[in-house]
Amino acid sequence: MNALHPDADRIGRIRRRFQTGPAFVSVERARYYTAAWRASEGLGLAPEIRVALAMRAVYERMTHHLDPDDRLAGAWTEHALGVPIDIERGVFNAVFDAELTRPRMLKARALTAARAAGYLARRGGLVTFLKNQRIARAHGGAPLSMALDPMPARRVNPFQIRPADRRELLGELLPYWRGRTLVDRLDGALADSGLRSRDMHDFVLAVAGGASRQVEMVSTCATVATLQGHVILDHDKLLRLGLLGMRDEVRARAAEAEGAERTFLESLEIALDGVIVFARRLLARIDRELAVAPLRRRPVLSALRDRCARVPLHPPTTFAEALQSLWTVKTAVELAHPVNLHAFGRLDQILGPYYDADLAAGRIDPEAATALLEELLLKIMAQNLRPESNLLANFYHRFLGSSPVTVGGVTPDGADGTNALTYLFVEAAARSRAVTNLSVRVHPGTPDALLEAVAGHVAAGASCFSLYNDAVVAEAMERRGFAPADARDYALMGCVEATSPGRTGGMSANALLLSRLLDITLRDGDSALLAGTVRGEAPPLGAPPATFEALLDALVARAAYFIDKIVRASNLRDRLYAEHLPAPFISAFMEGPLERGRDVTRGGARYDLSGISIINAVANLVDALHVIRALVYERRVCTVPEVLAAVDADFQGRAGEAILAEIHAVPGRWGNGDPAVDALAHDVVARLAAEVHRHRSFRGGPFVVYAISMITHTIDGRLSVATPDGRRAATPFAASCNPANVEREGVTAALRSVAALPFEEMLGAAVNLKLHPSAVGATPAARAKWVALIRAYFALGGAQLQPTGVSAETLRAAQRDPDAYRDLVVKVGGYSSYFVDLGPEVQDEIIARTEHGASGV
Amino acid sequence: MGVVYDVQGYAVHDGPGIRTAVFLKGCPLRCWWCHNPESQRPEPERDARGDWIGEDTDAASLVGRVARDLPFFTASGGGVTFTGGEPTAQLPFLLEALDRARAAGLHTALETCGAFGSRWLAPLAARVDLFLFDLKHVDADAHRRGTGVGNRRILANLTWLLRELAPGRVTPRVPVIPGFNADPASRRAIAGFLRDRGYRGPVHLMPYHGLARDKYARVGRAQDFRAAPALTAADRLAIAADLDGGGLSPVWGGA
Repeated sequence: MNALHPDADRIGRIRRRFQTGPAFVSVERARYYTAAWRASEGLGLAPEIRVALAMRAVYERMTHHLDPDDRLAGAWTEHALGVPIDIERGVFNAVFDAELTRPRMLKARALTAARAAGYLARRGGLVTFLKNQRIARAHGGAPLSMALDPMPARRVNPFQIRPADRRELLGELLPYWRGRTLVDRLDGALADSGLRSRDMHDFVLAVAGGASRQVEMVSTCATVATLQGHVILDHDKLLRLGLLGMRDEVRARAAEAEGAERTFLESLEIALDGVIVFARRLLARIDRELAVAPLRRRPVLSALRDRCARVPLHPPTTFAEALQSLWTVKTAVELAHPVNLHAFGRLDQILGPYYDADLAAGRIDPEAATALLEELLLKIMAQNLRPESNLLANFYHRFLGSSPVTVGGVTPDGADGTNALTYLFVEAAARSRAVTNLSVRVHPGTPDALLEAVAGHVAAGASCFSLYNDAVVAEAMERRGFAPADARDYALMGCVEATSPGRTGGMSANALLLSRLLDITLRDGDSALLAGTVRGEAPPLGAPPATFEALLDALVARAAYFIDKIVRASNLRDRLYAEHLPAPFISAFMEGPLERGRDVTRGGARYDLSGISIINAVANLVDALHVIRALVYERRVCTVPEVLAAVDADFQGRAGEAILAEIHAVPGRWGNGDPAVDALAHDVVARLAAEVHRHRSFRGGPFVVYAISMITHTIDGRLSVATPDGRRAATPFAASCNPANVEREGVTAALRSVAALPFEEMLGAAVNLKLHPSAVGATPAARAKWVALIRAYFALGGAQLQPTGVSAETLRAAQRDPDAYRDLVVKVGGYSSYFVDLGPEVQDEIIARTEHGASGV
Repeated sequence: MGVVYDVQGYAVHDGPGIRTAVFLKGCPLRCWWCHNPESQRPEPERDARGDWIGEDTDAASLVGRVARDLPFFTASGGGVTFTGGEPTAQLPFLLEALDRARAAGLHTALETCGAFGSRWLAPLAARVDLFLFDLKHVDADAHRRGTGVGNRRILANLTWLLRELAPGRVTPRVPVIPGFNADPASRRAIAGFLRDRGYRGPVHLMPYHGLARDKYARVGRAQDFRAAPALTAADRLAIAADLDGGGLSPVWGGA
């Protein structure tokens, strides 16, 4: 911390406002979008034209918020901290509908409960349900919050809304969109698709309550996300041409095109028009402020005005202009595609030349540049909040520190790209205490000084850093069809997912839930949940596997069955987007759509990605297989049905306790560097990945593998029965790619196990490493050893590492006295968050993670 | 076979780089301040909870397990450190483990109290890259009072190593114990001993801490625990000053 730098107070005020100021739901976007959408009804316009017109209408009428502390202008709502509503996608519509007032909340909960009770009564599962609720409470898990605090009054992630806005939203806007949103269409299409088993279909209808629709279930072990995003825009082109230049280019192409292509190019022109309107109205807002501002504010405001008068319409001439250009466009496009989900990419590479030129000309100094970057990181964070349902409140928080900024690493031609800005970003990430992920790419030529700087900040408690191994990530990209130079130019999006920035479409995120997959395999098609057993999730195969190899084969066959369902559901969703909600505001800033005359949702981008995340979790699955191999197939201590009986009893009773004792006595859990278990982990993941890689999306891009659990390992764990690795019912799964807190052999062994996974077959994985601060960087010598630890882990084939350098004592102290630890940042799944913002179950899960120290006296 | 009671990875205070510390059981000394009382008896024993401390281990599998961390050793200039207990209390086993470690390409360090027969000096010197050699007290009576044994053999062994081995292969370590050797006369005598034998380089100062009480209880020897006053910051400064200069440079906590 540098309390002396002149912007420290200003940055502190911005941070405080975001951390503790009220967050508002803004209806402006929903209001203007809906009006324009209705106005274009029945005119026979193509959907991409209607989308572009509707968003342009938003830009034409929205209110711009301007803050005295702004040095980067532009917010996506009229509030200092607000969230717009993506009403046409409808991801959160049901949450607003049910949870803004107490009476509506009571009604919605009563309906949900009645539906669930009806389902349970029909299924005769009430006894099991009640038994499982007892089991869950025995592990201290608060039941899914049925708390009846409406959104403005709840403790975790509250949102305010103006009364008139609330009336408009509930009375006019939401009713119009009912049945018309993308999510509603997807609900209907999935129900009609036959992808869900009959029992699953009933189950989904029973549990679908007031929760958001960020995720839709296809099976108990398979989900598809509803989001639209996960891209990095072509920022180089924006800076090179400016919006006006880009629009000229589109116009020239459109003049030569015809038919559907011409229509599409027109949608790009309207989209660029819209962003230009957004920028011009932002400038007008500053002008109005300037007209009434006191004298002392004028220098700052007129500098801001000058920057916004040039960019993003024209190419920037300075570092500050370049940053403002990116920020204006990011804010506008983010508003077209809330929430989160597009990232900035390699900002040190993009902005480096502007910074160098300014520095050489004496127009900027490192302090001023760092302050701008701090503001940027905080503002990225402020566009990364979600109006999630109260049902998940125990697991949620205000900000997700995803939407990463990528720095460092090799250039497309393979040279070291580390530059002066790389260091300033590292410094800014630590100083700002924003939760925004700073993704630091590492290769053998990365200077030790950069990693030592990261080590120092991690030891001081900054947990917003993630480290990426260029060699492995670029190799993984090439295997999925990226040209070598484009692979080397990778950047991170979402939380930890690699993409080639500015040229890769990709709006598909899906998940395969591994412990459920094993459960279904062991139960020959049925799937046990704490809420009851869903029958016939997969066709029965009959005879139980006679050997461990046969069990593995069965698991992989089951995986193939569900991956096929996921792919079909993913394509179903993406076709709905292509048909009903194309993305001209992303297509306009992407390499490919212009050249191919095709929207990014229809495969217009140069590359395209669809993904399946393998979660909940590699560690639990591998440990369970390892245990079953030892107990059932090698030592023949028990049978699969006996293991399942113990699992169903949550290892209680004499038989359950006996089996749990046997399970705990099996040595060599994954995470202890045991070569045989590490090989099992490698083989299982490689075989699952191969099943995913067989598929291509309807846009023509590959399906790729991720291993990133966000907070689902806690939520899903809460809903899950025990697992054969000894994990008790209703307790968390391992996070992302982490071992299941069974590491006893120290940090090097844990990292050897993790590095044994086939990361060259994945495009994104999160590995949390919780280190006691003294093990990271108490002294320069300690920092050097930590740097060597990272380099060795990467040399072994590790792809990613996100260190948290906070001790368990500190985390417990923060639980007791949240106000004193307001700035404490921790890693959750693949992203960072303020610890004191997190729900209690997620806090406990983080504290329970294995903490690695340095050994020796 | 030898008796090993712990193997710890990412040891960063027991020699250069990232190291794995191998703790051998059994020690000829009985230092009243001992931080690892569970290491003193040579044979495996059960703690108060019934868990075993120490395990019969063969050198081949021990070194095989340690060598899995070779990539971390290579990246950091680290290796394996044999400590204890007193590793030389299991000499044939120690020599075999050292041989196997060197054959596996590991840098070897030995943390020793120095209380072993002089005939083992040359065999050890041929197998150990770095000696972390405890120098507890120069005065024989004080040494006997504090550790239960005299220091003639220890000082002779250290003298031999300092004379015969290249600079950098021996680092003296001084446990700084109030009431034993933290007084000005004792510490100056230690500094003088080293300077007189031509030693130039770092001296690791290992500060006394009173955290071992639970460990004594764990091995059923709560009555043997003796607390000493903790070192103050002023103590540390004064002690370091006496071990500074004339070619010596004090390093607290080892490295």
